[in-house]
Amino acid sequence: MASPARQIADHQAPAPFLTLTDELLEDIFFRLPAPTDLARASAACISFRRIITDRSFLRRFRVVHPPPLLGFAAYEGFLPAQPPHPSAPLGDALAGAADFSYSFVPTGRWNTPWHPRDVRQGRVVLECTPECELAFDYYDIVYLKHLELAVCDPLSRRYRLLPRIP
Amino acid sequence: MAAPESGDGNNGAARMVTLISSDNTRFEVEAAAASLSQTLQLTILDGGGGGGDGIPLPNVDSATLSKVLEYCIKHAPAAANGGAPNATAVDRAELERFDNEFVNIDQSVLYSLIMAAHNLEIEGLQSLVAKKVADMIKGKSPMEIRRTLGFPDPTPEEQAEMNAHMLEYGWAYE
Repeated sequence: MASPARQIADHQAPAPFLTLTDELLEDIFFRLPAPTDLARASAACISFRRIITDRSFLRRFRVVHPPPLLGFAAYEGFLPAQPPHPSAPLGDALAGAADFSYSFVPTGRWNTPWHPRDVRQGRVVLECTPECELAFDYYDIVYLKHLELAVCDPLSRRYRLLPRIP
Repeated sequence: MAAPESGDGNNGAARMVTLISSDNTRFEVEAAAASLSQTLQLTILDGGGGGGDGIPLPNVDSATLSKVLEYCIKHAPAAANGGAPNATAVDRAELERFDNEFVNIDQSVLYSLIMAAHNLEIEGLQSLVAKKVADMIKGKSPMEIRRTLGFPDPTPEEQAEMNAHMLEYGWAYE
């Protein structure tokens, strides 16, 4: 039995926007309102992807469209942006997709959980310290040499342990 | 008086220039409107385009050129006022209405327009069309973007690329 032939539109006018110059396509992509729109466009076709993933283009795009605030990686876990903040749906999606308990980072020298210390562009600096009284001022009781540090990406669940401070 | 004074103290009444499209149609238009094009502005300042001469535009056909000039004529008064700092809200709203209507057109025309705007260096028109195309893309999945822009069916390589993308980033689109 003949398999159904794949429909090939016989040479209708080729899609005009496939033949635009890189410069004009960049101008169009610059006007996309959100990084998610840019990501989707990059998956739509090979030449879009080549233009959008170009580092200098991305750098310029970020200047105009700073990455949206999705939430806070707090001591107690991830606190996603709440409505009516425009990032609320994306923040929720991130909370579901990423691991903010950092269970993918192996336990450090101390048998205490990892806690976020700082966050930059989606990367979290984690610290792990000896058991201590929360009532004391942090810096009075944790010696730098006892501090364990790691950097991780809670979304891709990749991490890197940092060398100990001598 | 046929046309409003452009008010920038040029030589008396509105100076006219002639533009010639790739298919040899002649368009007579006020120099102030044609000067929205950086490229044409230089020629016009040099005294070109007047009399019987005309400025040939071998990259722009008559259908596109008449559309381009429609934009230029509408935007010329505001441009002459230096971006119209003293334009009334009504004027601005009217330009905005015109712009929205203006780009509500077929993709192939949008394509010709953005190419012409780029060739002639008409910044406002290029932005307007680029924004329109961006609006057509935003909020759509990769496959919807392909359909919207009338791209042919994805190659297996492109399909695999899209699947991988959705697997990795699909969480962000729900």
